[in-house]
Amino acid sequence: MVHRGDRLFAAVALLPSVALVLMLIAVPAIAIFALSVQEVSLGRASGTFVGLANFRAVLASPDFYTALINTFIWVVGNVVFEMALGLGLALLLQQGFRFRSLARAVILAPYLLPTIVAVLVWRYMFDDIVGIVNRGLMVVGLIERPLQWLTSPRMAMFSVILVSTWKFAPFVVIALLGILQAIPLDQYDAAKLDGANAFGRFLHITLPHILPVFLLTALLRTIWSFHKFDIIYLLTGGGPIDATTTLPILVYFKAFHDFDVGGAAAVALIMLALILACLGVYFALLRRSERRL
Amino acid sequence: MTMHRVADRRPSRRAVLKGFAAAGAFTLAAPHVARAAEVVRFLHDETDPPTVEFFNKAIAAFQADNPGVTIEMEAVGSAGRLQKVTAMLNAGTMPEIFKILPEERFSFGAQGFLEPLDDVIAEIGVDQYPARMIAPIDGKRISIPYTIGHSSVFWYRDDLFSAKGIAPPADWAAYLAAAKALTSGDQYGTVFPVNKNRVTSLFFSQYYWSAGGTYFDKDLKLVFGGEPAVKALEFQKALSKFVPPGVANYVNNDLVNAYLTEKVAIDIWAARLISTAALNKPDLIARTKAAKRPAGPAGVGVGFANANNLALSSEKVGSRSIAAAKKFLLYILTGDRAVDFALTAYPHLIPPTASVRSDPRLLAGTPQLAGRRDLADASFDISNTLDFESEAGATIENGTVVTTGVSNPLIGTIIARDIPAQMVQRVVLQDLDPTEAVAWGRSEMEATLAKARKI
Repeated sequence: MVHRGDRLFAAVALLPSVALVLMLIAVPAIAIFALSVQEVSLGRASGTFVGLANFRAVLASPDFYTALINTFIWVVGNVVFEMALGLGLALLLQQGFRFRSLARAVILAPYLLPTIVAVLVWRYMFDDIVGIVNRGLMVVGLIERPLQWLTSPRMAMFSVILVSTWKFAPFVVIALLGILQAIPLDQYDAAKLDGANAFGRFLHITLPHILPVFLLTALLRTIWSFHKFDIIYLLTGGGPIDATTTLPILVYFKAFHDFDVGGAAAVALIMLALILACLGVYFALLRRSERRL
Repeated sequence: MTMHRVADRRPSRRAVLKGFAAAGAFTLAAPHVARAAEVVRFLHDETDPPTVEFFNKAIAAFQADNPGVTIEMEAVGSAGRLQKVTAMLNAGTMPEIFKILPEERFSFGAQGFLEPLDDVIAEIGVDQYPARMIAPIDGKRISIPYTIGHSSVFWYRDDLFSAKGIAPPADWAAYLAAAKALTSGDQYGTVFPVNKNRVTSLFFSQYYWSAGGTYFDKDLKLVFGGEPAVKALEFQKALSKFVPPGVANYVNNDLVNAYLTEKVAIDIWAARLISTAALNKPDLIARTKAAKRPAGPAGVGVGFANANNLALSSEKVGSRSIAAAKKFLLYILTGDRAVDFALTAYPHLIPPTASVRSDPRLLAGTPQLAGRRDLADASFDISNTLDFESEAGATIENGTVVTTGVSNPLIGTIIARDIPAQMVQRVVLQDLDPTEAVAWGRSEMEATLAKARKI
């Protein structure tokens, strides 16, 4: 039997945590909802209620669809390259070879670097005048003039995906290495005795074991890539033109360039709806794959 | 017995609740306790190390003379300044003193975000300043110039020009020919930014003005467009063949870096280029000269020069120590501090007051530039220049820019949205026809102004 006094004490003891959670999560969330139905400009204390006008304006704007397509390319590019590279590297690092520990440390290093440091290094390497990438390609005769890695509308998205893959593929490696090491080796031995080749062993032993972690990692990378802001903004600022303007960058532009805070909040809420839809699809797929296994 | 003692040591429920209450009270009271001393927060974008060092010394000296006043300085990059300021405005946490652009003053002033500074300017002397740079807004002066920014000095590599037998270009055609002759491999004739930023809008605007156009007429009616805008874009498109490939990402500093790496032969930019070269690559100074800007179709190469202002926030947006802030402003903008400040990035930081401009210590220059008075003179010459605030209805008569004296409260919203810069991007990066780009820009400007009026 819990005393009333104990209940009160528990409630008071929980109060700071509840207040903190409310302040950090609920208040901003409510504020975004409130802003999305107002016409409010930065630097002005109050806005006017406009109902769903901000959503209508956003959905009627070509900028939104450009950003949506860019976001799709960015997320798919990131997840596909990171998962493929991460899986390949994890399988490689799982093998026994000399200096394996050193190789693991080197491969994981990009993930440990602060984003700002990584981005500044890559910006410098891609620099049009003194960048080592262009200089190297020119020295070996592959190009005559520097390539516009970050400044050509055709190449910029590829370049930012390249940098992001370099930075975050190690996360996939970390996630997959753990589960790879948990697979019982006798299963591989038995498969070998049964005549299974390397691909067969991967398909029938490795893949079923790592699939839940692989899918979860892909989901996390999808969510994180979807709202990734810093790498793109620091590398290209969303440009050139709008070649790398994804939805988070659009939110920033709307709020801090167009001073359209209501529109920015509307885009942010549409992003939330999209990511929730992706989560729904993921969990449906996960349930199906678990049933098959 | 032992159990009893342990139980005795446990804090009682009442004691825990008292602790929570005390912690809560302290949390609520802490900001007020911390603010017992007068704190003046100071936000600017002068990030040169010598300038920051000057401010640190000046602040230390001021605090020593004014016990009880603490100056908290924050230096941010130009690109992020407006975003920071607008976010702080919204949060009601504006610093007392902050850097403000001329075209921002109208909107901020109209909303009551700024404290009048007539008394500070009067104490320094109204006649000390160029009139257009302290023009009152609705009868009040709500910002104070601390330096003049001149962004349009025509710097060129004299050694490269001599090697090719080229003279400084007198007009756009000669400029194009020179840029072409000086471009070879990864050596580029000239440079200008094609980014979505203010400096790209600034470059376009000076070409647009040089072609005879203005954004607004003297009645503040939008008149942007027509032949001058098309000619300016066509010129930039032609010039873009002779610039480094990365200009789509260029910000202010890149214009300096491009010159300092000796990859460009002509660089129209502020004297920061020279002050940085003097500190980091002094041998380049000897090979650098300045010339008049090439004339555009209207007969003059119009440049860009504006006052860099500091403003004082009002209590409405979070300012707390207004009297102390005014005292600090007066301190750093006058006397030896004003001269010392100008010398931290000489000849880039042009003093706005006549007395400091004629100070013998300033005229003597810095050791790094000794004997090159021509470079300082080029930087200090702000004739035939305009800025966004004063361009409304400006004309070119007999080779001279004539302003109307009208201050434009509307143009800031167009520039803040980078509309001119986006036109340049469309033409240079996307090969859009200049006429179409101008039509797009015009419609964006109309929509922006309509929205601004509605809000």
